Amino acid sequence: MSGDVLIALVPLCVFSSVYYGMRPILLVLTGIISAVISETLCCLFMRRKPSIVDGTAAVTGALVGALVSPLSPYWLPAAGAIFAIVAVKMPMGGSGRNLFNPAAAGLAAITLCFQGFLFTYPDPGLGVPLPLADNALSGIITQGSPAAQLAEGGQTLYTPTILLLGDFPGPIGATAIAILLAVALYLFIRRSISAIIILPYLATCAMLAWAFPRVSGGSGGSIMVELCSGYLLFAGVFLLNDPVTSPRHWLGRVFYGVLAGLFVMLMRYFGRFEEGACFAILLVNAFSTTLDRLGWYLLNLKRIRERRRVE
Amino acid sequence: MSNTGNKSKQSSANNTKELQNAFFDSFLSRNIVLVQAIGIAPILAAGITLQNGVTLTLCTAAVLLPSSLFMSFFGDRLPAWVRAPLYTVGSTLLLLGAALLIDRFISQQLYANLYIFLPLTAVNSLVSYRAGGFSVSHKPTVALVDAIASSLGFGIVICVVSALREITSYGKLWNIPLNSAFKLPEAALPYAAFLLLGFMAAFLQWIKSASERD
Repeated sequence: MSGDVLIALVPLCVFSSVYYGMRPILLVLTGIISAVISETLCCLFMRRKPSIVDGTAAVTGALVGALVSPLSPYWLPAAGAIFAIVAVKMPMGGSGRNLFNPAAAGLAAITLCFQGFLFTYPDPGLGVPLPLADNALSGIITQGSPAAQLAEGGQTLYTPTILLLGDFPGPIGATAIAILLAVALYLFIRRSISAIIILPYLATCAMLAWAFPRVSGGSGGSIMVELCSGYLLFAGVFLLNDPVTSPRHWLGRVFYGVLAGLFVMLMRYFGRFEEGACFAILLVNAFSTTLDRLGWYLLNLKRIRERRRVE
Repeated sequence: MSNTGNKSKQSSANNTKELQNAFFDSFLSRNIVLVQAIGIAPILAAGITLQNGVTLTLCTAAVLLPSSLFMSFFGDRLPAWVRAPLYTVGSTLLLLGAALLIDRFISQQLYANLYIFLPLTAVNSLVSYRAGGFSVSHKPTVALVDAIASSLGFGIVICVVSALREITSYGKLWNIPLNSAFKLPEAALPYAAFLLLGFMAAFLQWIKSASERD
């Protein structure tokens, strides 16, 4: 399960390293290493058998690392991953017991605290790899991401082809839309992600983008830019399908996807940041159990009523 | 709660034990904030600097002590529907005095910092829960000890939280600059206080389970 997710992240990182050199891969590795080390330390502190073998800590670190900007300093994914493990995952009881998605929570923490680092993206047309050292980063040409353009409104510069190819500034793992779709297909075949979460999620986002476009010129273009910008698609594939925090019941999963799409788009329309999908995921995680019970209740409504009548 | 009994006449040997229990119940083992989750709002919003924390503690004590005493003397002679408006009006009057003292004689800046949260202390759930619920069914001495313990229990939590948040967000403690390079202004946001409260509650449970195991 977590092995599949790690494999799926490899092509995304490779794609980013084609544009920006080795730095994105080192950032993701920093996330993984700090998550694994902090989980080991937590297990030692709690006098438990180390639970890093199941790979969930590595996945958390890799997801946090894959969602920071290629231009961010190395301590940023480390801080996110450590927060995710130490403050969100382990206090709830470790793997399989966390109420909230640790990666989304770690990302939310660094979004709140260091948005300047997180939302400054390098120009993909640089042609030279980024420097590896943190102190050599000043003076790199930066460019506003599509999500930032959407937040400002007006005409978007990005055509659907550019968006699909991923030739635009954005987080390490979330720009390669075509690769992301292929990876989603792989994870779907391996049964690591569930189509009844991600399809309602994307449908809700698309419907809202169609009904309330933020760019001038056609609602079709609005749908395309909204779905491809930021890390909306990445969040739908990797963060929303976390088997621990998503509902089990199929109807609950449909509601979960719809609610997540609604929250993600509301965060975009009214939120403080250009991308607030991590906050939306955390919010919808809190509804997970309720949605499970709601789905079961709605399907068994007839039987429940009959039983009441008998009594 | 262990102390739901009525005012019964007890021997003096039991008396000190009862007082001790009442004190440690509200102060530590069932800490008013960390276990019973009462009075969290001022900690989240106003517990940003240590001065705010100490001021809110003193104001809570100034409101809670007299109203608890009053309710334990006269509470059971009043019909239930009179009690709630009575202690609310009473605590508002007490707080008006406290606010006037702060504004005139201590610091106008402090009064401005606390903004709406100073007046809100009068209707804090802490006051209504302890003065309106606990004190009515207990003897004045027990009610007084419980009011002191509740104020202290609230005070120690808000002081720890606000001191930590002041150090991390402004790099100061009691308005005295500490020469620390690390600053995180976002620690003043409410979510930081939620996290701190969560960890403090877990720490308290850990201490309790450790002491029970020995």
